[in-house]
Amino acid sequence: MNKIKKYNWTLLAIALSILTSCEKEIKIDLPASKIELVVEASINQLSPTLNYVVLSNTLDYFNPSLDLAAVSGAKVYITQGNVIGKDTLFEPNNRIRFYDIANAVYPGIYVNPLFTGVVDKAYLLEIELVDGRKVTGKTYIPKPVTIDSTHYWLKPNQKDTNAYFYFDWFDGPEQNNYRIVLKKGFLPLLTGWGYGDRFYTFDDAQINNQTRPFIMLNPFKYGDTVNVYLSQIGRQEYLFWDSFRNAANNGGPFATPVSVSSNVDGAIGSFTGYGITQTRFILR
Amino acid sequence: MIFGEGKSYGLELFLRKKTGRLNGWVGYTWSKTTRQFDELNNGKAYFYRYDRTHDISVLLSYEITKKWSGSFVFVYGTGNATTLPDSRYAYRYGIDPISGEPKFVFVDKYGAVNSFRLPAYHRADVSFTYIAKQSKKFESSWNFSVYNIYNRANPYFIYFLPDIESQTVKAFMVYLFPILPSVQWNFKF
Repeated sequence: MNKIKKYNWTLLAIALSILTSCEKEIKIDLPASKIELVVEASINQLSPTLNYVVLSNTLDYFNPSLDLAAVSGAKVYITQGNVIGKDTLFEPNNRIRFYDIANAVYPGIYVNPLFTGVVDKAYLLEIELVDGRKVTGKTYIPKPVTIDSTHYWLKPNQKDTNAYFYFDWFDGPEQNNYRIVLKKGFLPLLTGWGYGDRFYTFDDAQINNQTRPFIMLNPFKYGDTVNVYLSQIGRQEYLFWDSFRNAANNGGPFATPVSVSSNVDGAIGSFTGYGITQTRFILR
Repeated sequence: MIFGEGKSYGLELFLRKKTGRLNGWVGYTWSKTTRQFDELNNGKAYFYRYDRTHDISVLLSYEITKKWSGSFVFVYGTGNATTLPDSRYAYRYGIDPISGEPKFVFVDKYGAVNSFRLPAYHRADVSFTYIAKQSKKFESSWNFSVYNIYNRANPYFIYFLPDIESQTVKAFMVYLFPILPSVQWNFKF
Protein backbone atom coordinates (compact mmCIF):
# COMPACT_ATOMS: atom_id res chain seq x y z
CA MET A 1 0.00 0.00 0.00
CA ASN A 2 2.89 2.39 0.86
CA LYS A 3 4.58 1.59 -2.48
CA ILE A 4 1.36 2.43 -4.35
CA LYS A 5 1.02 5.68 -2.40
CA LYS A 6 4.65 6.56 -3.19
CA TYR A 7 4.16 5.95 -6.91
CA ASN A 8 0.95 8.00 -6.88
CA TRP A 9 2.74 11.01 -5.36
CA THR A 10 5.62 10.61 -7.82
CA LEU A 11 3.25 10.51 -10.78
CA LEU A 12 1.36 13.51 -9.43
CA ALA A 13 4.58 15.51 -9.05
CA ILE A 14 5.68 14.66 -12.60
CA ALA A 15 2.24 15.56 -13.97
CA LEU A 16 2.19 18.87 -12.10
CA SER A 17 5.68 19.85 -13.23
CA ILE A 18 4.73 19.18 -16.85
CA LEU A 19 1.35 20.87 -16.70
CA THR A 20 2.55 24.00 -14.88
CA SER A 21 5.54 24.64 -17.18
CA CYS A 22 3.82 27.27 -19.33
CA GLU A 23 6.19 30.23 -19.31
CA LYS A 24 9.83 30.55 -20.19
CA GLU A 25 12.39 33.23 -20.91
CA ILE A 26 13.28 33.54 -24.58
CA LYS A 27 15.69 35.53 -26.70
CA ILE A 28 14.16 37.83 -29.28
CA ASP A 29 15.95 39.56 -32.12
CA LEU A 30 14.13 42.79 -32.73
CA PRO A 31 15.16 44.74 -35.83
CA ALA A 32 17.17 47.86 -35.04
CA SER A 33 14.79 50.77 -34.60
CA LYS A 34 15.21 54.28 -35.89
CA ILE A 35 16.33 56.67 -33.17
CA GLU A 36 13.72 59.38 -32.66
CA LEU A 37 13.81 62.66 -30.82
CA VAL A 38 11.67 62.95 -27.68
CA VAL A 39 10.47 66.40 -26.59
CA GLU A 40 8.97 67.31 -23.23
CA ALA A 41 8.26 71.04 -23.17
CA SER A 42 6.31 72.77 -20.45
CA ILE A 43 5.40 76.43 -19.91
CA ASN A 44 3.04 78.11 -17.47
CA GLN A 45 2.15 81.44 -15.99
CA LEU A 46 2.87 80.69 -12.32
CA SER A 47 5.91 78.58 -11.52
CA PRO A 48 9.36 79.28 -13.05
CA THR A 49 10.57 75.77 -12.24
CA LEU A 50 7.96 74.38 -14.61
CA ASN A 51 9.20 76.27 -17.70
CA TYR A 52 11.61 73.93 -19.45
CA VAL A 53 12.29 71.86 -22.53
CA VAL A 54 13.75 68.36 -22.15
CA LEU A 55 15.28 66.74 -25.22
CA SER A 56 16.25 63.09 -25.39
CA ASN A 57 16.46 60.19 -27.81
CA THR A 58 14.63 56.91 -27.88
CA LEU A 59 16.63 53.95 -26.59
CA ASP A 60 17.13 50.49 -27.97
CA TYR A 61 14.60 48.31 -26.17
CA PHE A 62 17.05 45.85 -24.71
CA ASN A 63 19.74 48.47 -24.10
CA PRO A 64 21.03 48.01 -20.58
CA SER A 65 21.55 51.75 -20.19
CA LEU A 66 18.92 53.45 -18.06
CA ASP A 67 20.15 56.96 -18.79
CA LEU A 68 17.96 59.65 -20.22
CA ALA A 69 19.82 59.60 -23.58
CA ALA A 70 19.85 63.38 -23.39
CA VAL A 71 20.31 65.58 -26.45
CA SER A 72 22.64 68.50 -25.85
CA GLY A 73 23.74 71.44 -27.94
CA ALA A 74 20.40 72.10 -29.62
CA LYS A 75 19.02 75.58 -30.27
CA VAL A 76 15.68 75.92 -28.52
CA TYR A 77 13.38 78.94 -28.92
CA ILE A 78 9.96 79.77 -27.57
CA THR A 79 8.11 82.66 -29.16
CA GLN A 80 5.02 84.32 -27.75
CA GLY A 81 2.30 84.99 -30.26
CA ASN A 82 -0.65 87.31 -30.63
CA VAL A 83 -3.98 86.16 -31.97
CA ILE A 84 -5.15 88.42 -34.79
CA GLY A 85 -8.51 87.29 -36.09
CA LYS A 86 -8.22 83.59 -36.85
CA ASP A 87 -4.45 83.69 -37.15
CA THR A 88 -1.68 83.75 -34.61
CA LEU A 89 1.27 85.97 -35.31
CA PHE A 90 4.58 84.98 -33.72
CA GLU A 91 6.80 88.05 -33.61
CA PRO A 92 10.57 87.59 -33.72
CA ASN A 93 10.86 90.24 -30.99
CA ASN A 94 9.10 87.86 -28.66
CA ARG A 95 11.48 85.01 -29.36
CA ILE A 96 13.32 83.75 -26.29
CA ARG A 97 16.08 81.22 -26.35
CA PHE A 98 16.32 78.39 -23.83
CA TYR A 99 19.75 77.09 -22.84
CA ASP A 100 21.06 73.83 -21.39
CA ILE A 101 22.88 75.77 -18.70
CA ALA A 102 23.23 72.82 -16.36
CA ASN A 103 24.38 70.52 -19.12
CA ALA A 104 27.22 69.06 -17.09
CA VAL A 105 24.86 67.87 -14.38
CA TYR A 106 21.49 67.60 -16.10
CA PRO A 107 22.11 67.24 -19.83
CA GLY A 108 19.25 67.75 -22.21
CA ILE A 109 17.31 70.23 -20.05
CA TYR A 110 16.85 73.68 -21.58
CA VAL A 111 15.67 76.60 -19.43
CA ASN A 112 15.54 80.35 -19.32
CA PRO A 113 14.93 81.84 -15.84
CA LEU A 114 13.74 85.10 -17.44
CA PHE A 115 10.85 83.45 -19.29
CA THR A 116 7.37 83.99 -17.91
CA GLY A 117 4.29 82.60 -19.54
CA VAL A 118 1.23 84.79 -20.06
CA VAL A 119 -2.34 83.55 -19.84
CA ASP A 120 -4.33 83.43 -23.08
CA LYS A 121 -1.22 83.73 -25.21
CA ALA A 122 -0.09 81.26 -27.85
CA TYR A 123 3.48 79.99 -28.04
CA LEU A 124 5.66 78.53 -30.74
CA LEU A 125 8.41 76.05 -29.92
CA GLU A 126 11.31 75.76 -32.37
CA ILE A 127 14.13 73.27 -31.94
CA GLU A 128 17.15 72.99 -34.21
CA LEU A 129 19.39 70.02 -33.51
CA VAL A 130 23.12 69.87 -34.11
CA ASP A 131 22.57 67.68 -37.16
CA GLY A 132 20.24 70.26 -38.67
CA ARG A 133 16.92 68.56 -37.96
CA LYS A 134 14.09 70.92 -36.99
CA VAL A 135 11.14 70.31 -34.74
CA THR A 136 8.25 72.64 -34.01
CA GLY A 137 5.24 72.70 -31.75
CA LYS A 138 2.49 75.07 -30.70
CA THR A 139 0.54 75.55 -27.52
CA TYR A 140 -1.18 78.21 -25.49
CA ILE A 141 -1.67 78.93 -21.78
CA PRO A 142 -5.37 78.68 -20.91
CA LYS A 143 -6.94 80.80 -18.25
CA PRO A 144 -6.57 79.08 -14.87
CA VAL A 145 -9.70 78.13 -12.98
CA THR A 146 -10.61 79.45 -9.52
CA ILE A 147 -11.00 76.89 -6.77
CA ASP A 148 -14.31 77.66 -5.10
CA SER A 149 -14.06 75.55 -1.98
CA THR A 150 -11.83 73.00 -0.30
CA HIS A 151 -12.72 70.35 2.24
CA TYR A 152 -10.97 67.58 4.05
CA TRP A 153 -11.93 64.92 6.51
CA LEU A 154 -9.87 62.82 8.87
CA LYS A 155 -9.79 61.57 12.44
CA PRO A 156 -8.36 64.38 14.60
CA ASN A 157 -5.05 63.68 16.32
CA GLN A 158 -4.88 60.16 14.92
CA LYS A 159 -1.48 59.63 13.32
CA ASP A 160 -1.09 57.08 10.52
CA THR A 161 -4.78 57.24 9.71
CA ASN A 162 -6.18 58.08 6.31
CA ALA A 163 -6.97 61.64 5.37
CA TYR A 164 -9.17 62.62 2.44
CA PHE A 165 -9.83 65.91 0.74
CA TYR A 166 -11.70 67.42 -2.13
CA PHE A 167 -12.02 70.73 -3.84
CA ASP A 168 -14.23 72.11 -6.55
CA TRP A 169 -14.31 74.75 -9.23
CA PHE A 170 -16.71 75.90 -11.90
CA ASP A 171 -16.23 74.23 -15.30
CA GLY A 172 -17.33 76.66 -18.01
CA PRO A 173 -19.52 75.87 -21.01
CA GLU A 174 -16.60 75.68 -23.45
CA GLN A 175 -14.58 72.48 -23.87
CA ASN A 176 -12.06 72.27 -21.03
CA ASN A 177 -9.22 69.89 -20.27
CA TYR A 178 -7.46 69.45 -16.98
CA ARG A 179 -4.32 68.03 -15.49
CA ILE A 180 -3.90 67.71 -11.72
CA VAL A 181 -0.61 66.93 -10.05
CA LEU A 182 -0.34 66.31 -6.31
CA LYS A 183 2.92 66.58 -4.41
CA LYS A 184 3.31 65.61 -0.78
CA GLY A 185 5.73 67.70 1.23
CA PHE A 186 6.36 71.13 2.67
CA LEU A 187 8.13 72.49 -0.45
CA PRO A 188 5.41 74.27 -2.46
CA LEU A 189 7.07 73.82 -5.81
CA LEU A 190 7.72 71.21 -8.40
CA THR A 191 11.16 70.88 -9.92
CA GLY A 192 9.78 69.36 -13.07
CA TRP A 193 6.34 67.77 -13.36
CA GLY A 194 7.94 64.37 -12.83
CA TYR A 195 8.68 65.31 -9.22
CA GLY A 196 4.97 65.06 -8.49
CA ASP A 197 3.48 62.09 -6.69
CA ARG A 198 0.10 61.58 -8.34
CA PHE A 199 -1.12 62.57 -11.78
CA TYR A 200 -4.64 62.94 -13.15
CA THR A 201 -5.73 63.91 -16.65
CA PHE A 202 -9.35 64.40 -17.66
CA ASP A 203 -11.68 66.58 -19.72
CA ASP A 204 -15.20 67.85 -19.18
CA ALA A 205 -17.07 65.32 -21.34
CA GLN A 206 -18.94 64.03 -18.28
CA ILE A 207 -19.27 67.23 -16.26
CA ASN A 208 -19.66 70.47 -18.19
CA ASN A 209 -20.86 73.97 -17.42
CA GLN A 210 -21.30 73.30 -13.70
CA THR A 211 -19.39 73.01 -10.46
CA ARG A 212 -16.93 70.22 -10.75
CA PRO A 213 -15.48 68.37 -7.71
CA PHE A 214 -12.17 66.59 -7.49
CA ILE A 215 -12.38 63.99 -4.74
CA MET A 216 -9.18 62.40 -3.49
CA LEU A 217 -10.39 58.88 -2.73
CA ASN A 218 -6.86 57.47 -2.65
CA PRO A 219 -6.05 58.83 0.80
CA PHE A 220 -3.03 60.54 2.21
CA LYS A 221 -2.12 60.24 5.87
CA TYR A 222 -2.98 62.43 8.81
CA GLY A 223 -0.34 65.14 9.09
CA ASP A 224 0.58 65.19 5.39
CA THR A 225 0.98 68.44 3.52
CA VAL A 226 -0.27 68.13 -0.02
CA ASN A 227 0.42 70.69 -2.75
CA VAL A 228 -2.17 70.69 -5.50
CA TYR A 229 -1.44 71.93 -9.02
CA LEU A 230 -4.70 72.18 -10.94
CA SER A 231 -4.02 73.15 -14.56
CA GLN A 232 -6.08 73.87 -17.59
CA ILE A 233 -4.44 72.62 -20.78
CA GLY A 234 -5.35 72.64 -24.47
CA ARG A 235 -7.18 69.87 -26.30
CA GLN A 236 -4.19 68.51 -28.25
CA GLU A 237 -2.13 68.63 -25.07
CA TYR A 238 -4.86 66.70 -23.23
CA LEU A 239 -4.90 64.03 -25.95
CA PHE A 240 -1.17 63.62 -25.50
CA TRP A 241 -1.26 63.29 -21.73
CA ASP A 242 -4.27 60.99 -21.85
CA SER A 243 -2.48 58.69 -24.28
CA PHE A 244 0.72 59.02 -22.24
CA ARG A 245 -1.10 57.82 -19.15
CA ASN A 246 -2.15 54.66 -21.02
CA ALA A 247 1.36 54.16 -22.40
CA ALA A 248 3.13 54.71 -19.08
CA ASN A 249 0.84 52.26 -17.25
CA ASN A 250 1.21 49.64 -19.97
CA GLY A 251 3.46 46.69 -19.42
CA GLY A 252 3.86 43.16 -18.18
CA PRO A 253 1.86 40.17 -19.46
CA PHE A 254 -1.18 42.23 -20.36
CA ALA A 255 0.55 45.00 -22.28
CA THR A 256 -1.14 46.26 -25.43
CA PRO A 257 0.41 48.42 -28.13
CA VAL A 258 -0.23 52.04 -27.16
CA SER A 259 0.90 55.06 -29.13
CA VAL A 260 1.07 58.54 -27.70
CA SER A 261 -0.66 61.35 -29.51
CA SER A 262 2.19 63.83 -29.93
CA ASN A 263 1.59 67.52 -30.58
CA VAL A 264 5.09 68.33 -31.83
CA ASP A 265 6.01 67.96 -35.49
CA GLY A 266 9.04 65.83 -36.15
CA ALA A 267 9.37 64.22 -32.73
CA ILE A 268 7.60 62.24 -30.06
CA GLY A 269 6.26 64.22 -27.14
CA SER A 270 4.42 67.35 -26.21
CA PHE A 271 4.61 71.10 -25.87
CA THR A 272 2.11 71.94 -23.15
CA GLY A 273 0.97 75.28 -21.82
CA TYR A 274 -0.43 75.04 -18.30
CA GLY A 275 -2.81 77.58 -16.74
CA ILE A 276 -1.99 76.63 -13.14
CA THR A 277 -4.01 77.15 -10.01
CA GLN A 278 -2.09 76.14 -6.91
CA THR A 279 -3.40 75.32 -3.45
CA ARG A 280 -2.28 73.37 -0.44
CA PHE A 281 -3.84 71.05 2.09
CA ILE A 282 -2.37 70.58 5.55
CA LEU A 283 -4.16 67.45 6.69
CA ARG A 284 -4.39 67.82 10.41
CA MET B 1 -15.19 53.76 -34.09
CA ILE B 2 -12.92 53.65 -37.08
CA PHE B 3 -13.46 51.95 -40.42
CA GLY B 4 -11.00 50.35 -42.79
CA GLU B 5 -10.42 47.66 -45.32
CA GLY B 6 -9.56 43.98 -45.10
CA LYS B 7 -8.14 41.74 -47.80
CA SER B 8 -7.70 37.97 -47.84
CA TYR B 9 -6.56 35.62 -50.59
CA GLY B 10 -4.83 32.28 -50.92
CA LEU B 11 -4.68 28.75 -52.25
CA GLU B 12 -5.83 25.46 -50.74
CA LEU B 13 -4.64 21.96 -51.65
CA PHE B 14 -6.21 18.79 -50.24
CA LEU B 15 -5.31 15.13 -50.84
CA ARG B 16 -7.31 12.27 -49.31
CA LYS B 17 -7.05 8.46 -49.19
CA LYS B 18 -10.31 6.78 -48.17
CA THR B 19 -9.79 3.09 -48.69
CA GLY B 20 -7.49 0.48 -47.22
CA ARG B 21 -6.23 -0.06 -43.72
CA LEU B 22 -4.14 3.07 -43.92
CA ASN B 23 -6.11 6.15 -44.79
CA GLY B 24 -6.05 9.82 -44.11
CA TRP B 25 -5.47 13.18 -45.68
CA VAL B 26 -2.98 15.99 -46.18
CA GLY B 27 -4.02 19.60 -46.48
CA TYR B 28 -1.96 22.68 -47.28
CA THR B 29 -3.10 26.29 -47.40
CA TRP B 30 -1.17 29.35 -48.40
CA SER B 31 -2.90 32.63 -47.56
CA LYS B 32 -2.41 36.29 -46.87
CA THR B 33 -4.80 38.44 -44.84
CA THR B 34 -4.28 42.15 -44.25
CA ARG B 35 -6.05 45.11 -42.71
CA GLN B 36 -5.75 48.79 -43.49
CA PHE B 37 -7.04 51.72 -41.44
CA ASP B 38 -6.08 55.32 -42.10
CA GLU B 39 -5.79 55.93 -38.34
CA LEU B 40 -3.51 52.98 -37.64
CA ASN B 41 0.04 52.15 -38.65
CA ASN B 42 0.38 55.49 -40.46
CA GLY B 43 -2.30 54.37 -42.89
CA LYS B 44 -0.22 51.43 -44.15
CA ALA B 45 -1.71 47.96 -44.52
CA TYR B 46 -0.56 45.41 -41.98
CA PHE B 47 -0.95 41.66 -41.43
CA TYR B 48 -4.10 40.61 -39.61
CA ARG B 49 -3.21 39.13 -36.23
CA TYR B 50 -4.37 35.66 -37.23
CA ASP B 51 -2.85 35.76 -40.69
CA ARG B 52 -1.29 32.35 -41.32
CA THR B 53 0.92 32.21 -44.39
CA HIS B 54 1.40 28.43 -44.32
CA ASP B 55 -1.03 25.96 -42.84
CA ILE B 56 -0.32 22.24 -43.04
CA SER B 57 -2.38 19.44 -41.56
CA VAL B 58 -1.79 15.70 -41.81
CA LEU B 59 -4.08 12.97 -40.51
CA LEU B 60 -3.21 9.27 -40.76
CA SER B 61 -5.26 6.44 -39.33
CA TYR B 62 -4.40 2.74 -39.45
CA GLU B 63 -6.53 -0.29 -38.65
CA ILE B 64 -4.06 -2.46 -36.76
CA THR B 65 -6.48 -5.29 -35.95
CA LYS B 66 -10.25 -5.63 -35.71
CA LYS B 67 -10.02 -4.33 -32.15
CA TRP B 68 -7.11 -1.91 -32.36
CA SER B 69 -6.62 1.20 -34.48
CA GLY B 70 -4.16 4.03 -34.33
CA SER B 71 -4.03 7.58 -35.60
CA PHE B 72 -1.45 10.28 -36.04
CA VAL B 73 -2.11 14.02 -36.47
CA PHE B 74 0.39 16.70 -37.34
CA VAL B 75 -0.44 20.39 -37.71
CA TYR B 76 1.78 23.30 -38.63
CA GLY B 77 0.95 26.97 -38.93
CA THR B 78 2.94 30.16 -39.40
CA GLY B 79 3.09 32.08 -36.12
CA ASN B 80 0.61 34.85 -35.30
CA ALA B 81 1.52 38.41 -36.20
CA THR B 82 1.96 40.66 -33.19
CA THR B 83 3.09 44.17 -32.31
CA LEU B 84 6.16 44.45 -30.11
CA PRO B 85 7.95 47.47 -28.69
CA ASP B 86 10.98 48.45 -30.73
CA SER B 87 12.40 51.12 -28.45
CA ARG B 88 11.66 53.04 -25.26
CA TYR B 89 12.15 56.53 -23.94
CA ALA B 90 12.19 58.44 -20.70
CA TYR B 91 9.47 61.00 -20.00
CA ARG B 92 7.77 63.13 -17.34
CA TYR B 93 11.03 64.53 -16.05
CA GLY B 94 11.57 65.87 -12.55
CA ILE B 95 14.44 66.49 -10.15
CA ASP B 96 14.38 65.74 -6.44
CA PRO B 97 15.56 69.09 -5.02
CA ILE B 98 16.98 67.43 -1.91
CA SER B 99 18.95 64.54 -3.39
CA GLY B 100 19.39 66.02 -6.86
CA GLU B 101 18.32 62.69 -8.38
CA PRO B 102 16.37 62.86 -11.64
CA LYS B 103 12.97 61.21 -11.75
CA PHE B 104 11.23 59.98 -14.89
CA VAL B 105 9.26 57.03 -16.21
CA PHE B 106 10.14 54.76 -19.10
CA VAL B 107 7.60 54.37 -21.88
CA ASP B 108 7.60 51.61 -24.50
CA LYS B 109 7.39 52.77 -28.08
CA TYR B 110 5.81 50.21 -30.37
CA GLY B 111 6.91 49.34 -33.86
CA ALA B 112 4.77 48.85 -36.94
CA VAL B 113 1.49 47.07 -36.27
CA ASN B 114 1.78 43.25 -36.36
CA SER B 115 5.28 43.44 -37.82
CA PHE B 116 6.67 40.63 -35.65
CA ARG B 117 5.94 36.93 -36.12
CA LEU B 118 5.67 34.62 -33.16
CA PRO B 119 7.43 31.25 -33.59
CA ALA B 120 5.51 28.79 -35.74
CA TYR B 121 2.81 26.62 -34.22
CA HIS B 122 3.26 22.89 -34.71
CA ARG B 123 2.47 19.74 -32.80
CA ALA B 124 1.86 16.02 -33.30
CA ASP B 125 -0.76 13.89 -31.55
CA VAL B 126 -0.84 10.10 -31.37
CA SER B 127 -3.83 8.02 -30.42
CA PHE B 128 -4.75 4.35 -30.09
CA THR B 129 -8.29 3.03 -29.77
CA TYR B 130 -9.33 -0.38 -28.47
CA ILE B 131 -12.89 -1.58 -29.09
CA ALA B 132 -13.74 -3.38 -25.87
CA LYS B 133 -17.33 -4.41 -26.50
CA GLN B 134 -19.59 -4.06 -29.46
CA SER B 135 -23.17 -5.33 -29.40
CA LYS B 136 -26.61 -4.08 -30.38
CA LYS B 137 -27.32 -2.93 -26.88
CA PHE B 138 -23.97 -1.66 -25.70
CA GLU B 139 -20.72 -0.45 -27.18
CA SER B 140 -17.58 0.61 -25.39
CA SER B 141 -14.06 1.51 -26.36
CA TRP B 142 -10.90 2.75 -24.77
CA ASN B 143 -8.78 5.52 -26.20
CA PHE B 144 -5.16 6.15 -25.24
CA SER B 145 -3.75 9.34 -26.65
CA VAL B 146 -0.92 11.78 -26.26
CA TYR B 147 -1.51 15.39 -27.27
CA ASN B 148 1.61 17.30 -28.33
CA ILE B 149 3.80 14.21 -28.18
CA TYR B 150 7.11 16.08 -28.50
CA ASN B 151 6.07 18.70 -25.95
CA ARG B 152 6.33 21.67 -28.27
CA ALA B 153 6.02 25.01 -26.47
CA ASN B 154 3.69 26.76 -28.90
CA PRO B 155 3.62 30.45 -28.07
CA TYR B 156 0.41 32.03 -26.84
CA PHE B 157 1.88 35.48 -26.35
CA ILE B 158 5.13 37.25 -25.51
CA TYR B 159 5.65 39.94 -22.91
CA PHE B 160 8.55 41.87 -21.45
CA LEU B 161 9.64 42.64 -17.95
CA PRO B 162 12.48 44.87 -16.79
CA ASP B 163 15.17 43.11 -14.82
CA ILE B 164 16.53 45.52 -12.23
CA GLU B 165 19.55 43.36 -11.40
CA SER B 166 20.94 43.13 -14.90
CA GLN B 167 19.42 46.53 -15.86
CA THR B 168 17.96 45.13 -19.01
CA VAL B 169 14.65 43.89 -20.32
CA LYS B 170 13.80 40.22 -20.58
CA ALA B 171 11.32 38.56 -22.91
CA PHE B 172 9.00 35.82 -21.72
CA MET B 173 6.86 33.49 -23.77
CA VAL B 174 3.62 32.08 -22.41
CA TYR B 175 2.44 28.84 -23.95
CA LEU B 176 -0.48 26.49 -23.36
CA PHE B 177 -0.84 22.73 -23.29
CA PRO B 178 2.44 20.89 -23.05
CA ILE B 179 2.49 17.12 -23.61
CA LEU B 180 -0.88 15.81 -22.40
CA PRO B 181 -1.44 12.06 -22.15
CA SER B 182 -5.00 10.97 -21.66
CA VAL B 183 -7.10 7.86 -21.29
CA GLN B 184 -10.70 7.91 -22.31
CA TRP B 185 -13.50 5.38 -21.95
CA ASN B 186 -16.38 5.80 -24.38
CA PHE B 187 -19.64 3.97 -24.16
CA LYS B 188 -22.97 4.02 -25.89
CA PHE B 189 -26.20 2.25 -25.08
